[in-house]
Amino acid sequence: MSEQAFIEVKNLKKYFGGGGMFKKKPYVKAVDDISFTINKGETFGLVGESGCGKSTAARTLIRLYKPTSGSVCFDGVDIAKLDEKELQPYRCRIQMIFQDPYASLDPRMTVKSIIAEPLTIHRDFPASEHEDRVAQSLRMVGLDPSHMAKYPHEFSGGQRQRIGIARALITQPDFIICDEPISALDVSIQAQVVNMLQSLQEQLGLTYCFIAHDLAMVKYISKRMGVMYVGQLVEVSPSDELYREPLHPYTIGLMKAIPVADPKLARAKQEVIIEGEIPSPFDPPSGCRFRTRCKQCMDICKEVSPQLKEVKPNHFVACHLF
Amino acid sequence: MTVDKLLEVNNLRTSFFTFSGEVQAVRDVSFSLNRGEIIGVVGESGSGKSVTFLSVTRLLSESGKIVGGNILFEGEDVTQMPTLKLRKLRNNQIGMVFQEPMTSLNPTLRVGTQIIERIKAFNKRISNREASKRAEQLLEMVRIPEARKHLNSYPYEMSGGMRQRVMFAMAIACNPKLLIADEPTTALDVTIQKQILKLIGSLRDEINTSIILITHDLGVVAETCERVVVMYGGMIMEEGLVDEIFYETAHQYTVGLKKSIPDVNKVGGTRLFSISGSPPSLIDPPKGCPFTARCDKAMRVCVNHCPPYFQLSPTHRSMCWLLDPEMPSNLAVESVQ
Repeated sequence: MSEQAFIEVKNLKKYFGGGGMFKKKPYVKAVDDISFTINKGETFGLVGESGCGKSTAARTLIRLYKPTSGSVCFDGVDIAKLDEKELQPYRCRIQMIFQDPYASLDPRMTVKSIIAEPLTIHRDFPASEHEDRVAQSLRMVGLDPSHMAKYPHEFSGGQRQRIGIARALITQPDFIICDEPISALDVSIQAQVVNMLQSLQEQLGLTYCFIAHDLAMVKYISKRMGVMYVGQLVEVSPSDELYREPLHPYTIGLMKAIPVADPKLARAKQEVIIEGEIPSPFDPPSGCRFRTRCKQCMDICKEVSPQLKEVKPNHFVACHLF
Repeated sequence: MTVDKLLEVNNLRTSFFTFSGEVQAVRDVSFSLNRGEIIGVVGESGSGKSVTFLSVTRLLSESGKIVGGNILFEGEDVTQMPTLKLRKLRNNQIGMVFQEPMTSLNPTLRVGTQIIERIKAFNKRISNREASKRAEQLLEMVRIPEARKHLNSYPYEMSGGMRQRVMFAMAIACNPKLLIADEPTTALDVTIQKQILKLIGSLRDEINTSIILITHDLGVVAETCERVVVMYGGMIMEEGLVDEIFYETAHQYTVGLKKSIPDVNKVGGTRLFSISGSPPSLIDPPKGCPFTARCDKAMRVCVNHCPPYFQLSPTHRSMCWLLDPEMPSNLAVESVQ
C-alpha cells in the first residue's frame, strides 16, 4: 500500500474466560487472529453478524480490553504492550462513539460536564479553557452552546448522539472508533449523523473505524472494509469492490441479504439465503468456520483453516476456493 | 377496491392523556386491508404506526384512548366491543409479533409451555398430548430444526432469530385471519432478517392470513409487501401499491425517506441526502401538513391548512398541496423557509 499505515493490527487475539479453580474452563475466542491496517484519514468499516467479535476487536484495538496476544501499532508504537501509564497520552488521541445514545450519557450530569469529563481526566487542558472548548465542540456537531446547562433527557436521540460525538471530539483525537453509532436512530436522522461524521473527517483529518451491521451505510461511509465471521476476518477489500464482486461465500450471502429499496430489483434478485445461524465462539467448527453454513464446502474446509490471501490488488479473502 | 375487506379503519384518532397534555398520536387515519394481503406500514419513531395497530387490538396502555373513528374487523366495530368478545377476537382472529424477541417471551418458562398456553387459550378442551403435538407442528411451520427438542428449551438457550420464530409460532397458533408484525426484524442481523421475511411470505401462503408489517426499513417493504402506507406525525402521508410508492412517489416525505437510504449499487463519493430537523411534537401538532417544517417545497398554504388526500390512481393517494390540480405551477418553487 502506498499510503502510510496509521494503525496496523497484527495477529490480534482476545480470548475470554479460561479461568476456573480446578478445571480449566473453555475459552471464548471472541477475536481469533485478525490482521488489518487502517490508513491515515480513511474510514475502515467492520461488518458482521452480532456475536462475530467486531465490537470486541475494536475495543481490544484501543486497549479497552487487554489483548491475549498480537500487536497493534498506532502511529508506529505498539500500544498493545504499553502499561496503563504509558498508554495515557494515546488514550487522548483515540476516542469512541457508542451505539446507544440513551445509555451512553449519564442522565444526572449536565451536557457541559459530560462533554468536559475527558478534559478533567486528561488534565492537559487548564480548567479555565474547559467552557470554551465545550462550546467549540458543541458547535462542531451542530448544536448551540446554549444547550450546555441542559440534561440529556431534554434531547432527542439524534441530538444525544451528537453530544456523544462532541464528547469524543473534545480531546482532539485523531482516531475515533464508531461502534454502531447510527443503528439506534431513525432513517432520516441516520443520514444527518453520517453526513456530519463525514464533514468532521474532512475538517479535522480524522481516521475512523466504523462498525455497523447496516451494510449499505458502512459501504457508503467507508473506503475499505473488513467482513468478520466468528472472530476472524474473512474478507478485506475496498468497499466498492466488495459490493460489486464479493468473493467469499459468506460475503456473497451477506450482500444478497441486504433488502433493496426497489421492488422491481428485489423481485428480480436471485435468492441466496444463508441457512442456519452463526456458530458459538465457545466451540467454533474446525477448519473454516463458515463451513457449516457454506454451500460450496469441500473436504479441505473441515481440516485446514484458510488464511487471508491477496487475490486481487488490495482484496484479501480467506477461503479455499481461491 | 370493494373486494373482500378484512379490516377497515375509518377516521381513527387515538390520544394519550399525560401530565404535559394530550398527545395526539394518531390523527384521523383511514385505510383498509384485504384478505390474504401483505401491507407495509412505514414511518419513523413517533409517527403513530405502532399506536394505530395497538388501537386495532385495543391493547393501548391506560393513558391511551381511542377518541374518534371506528375500526371494523369483518364488519364488526372493535371500538365498541365488550371485553369478553374482544378477548375472543384477540384469541382467535389476530396474532401479534413484537420487535423485541428477548423481552416478549417469559424467561422462566420453557418455550413449549408458552406455546401450549397460547393454544389452550382458544381451545380449552384440547388434551395436553394433542396440544404439545400441535406445538411441535407449529415450530416445524416456522422452520425450527429439531422442533421436539426445542419444545423443552428455555428462551435464553435460543438465539434472537429462533426466539422471533417462536413468537411467530405463537402468533399463528390460532390460524389467525390477521397477523400484525411490529418491527419483527429490527433487532436481527441481515441474514436472519432475510430468513424471517421469507418465513412471513410463506406463512401467508400456508395459512392464508393477512399480514400487517410495521417497519422503518423501506428495503424490507420493497421485498415483502404488496401495498404500503407511509405515516408521519400521526397521519397517513401516502398510500399505494408498492410500485406506486417507489416509482411514482407523490409525497415529499416519502421522497426524502427514499433518498436518505444509501444506494449500495452506486459507487461512493456523493453526499447522502438528509431530511433536516426532527419530527413535530404531537402534544401541539402543527395545524397544517405535519411535514411542513422539514419540507423543501413547503408553501404558505402548508403551514395553516392540512391538505386533503389527492387520489392519483384507484389505489394510490397522497396528502400534499403540490398535487392539487388547481395549484399554479410557478408556486411550487416558492418556499416559506
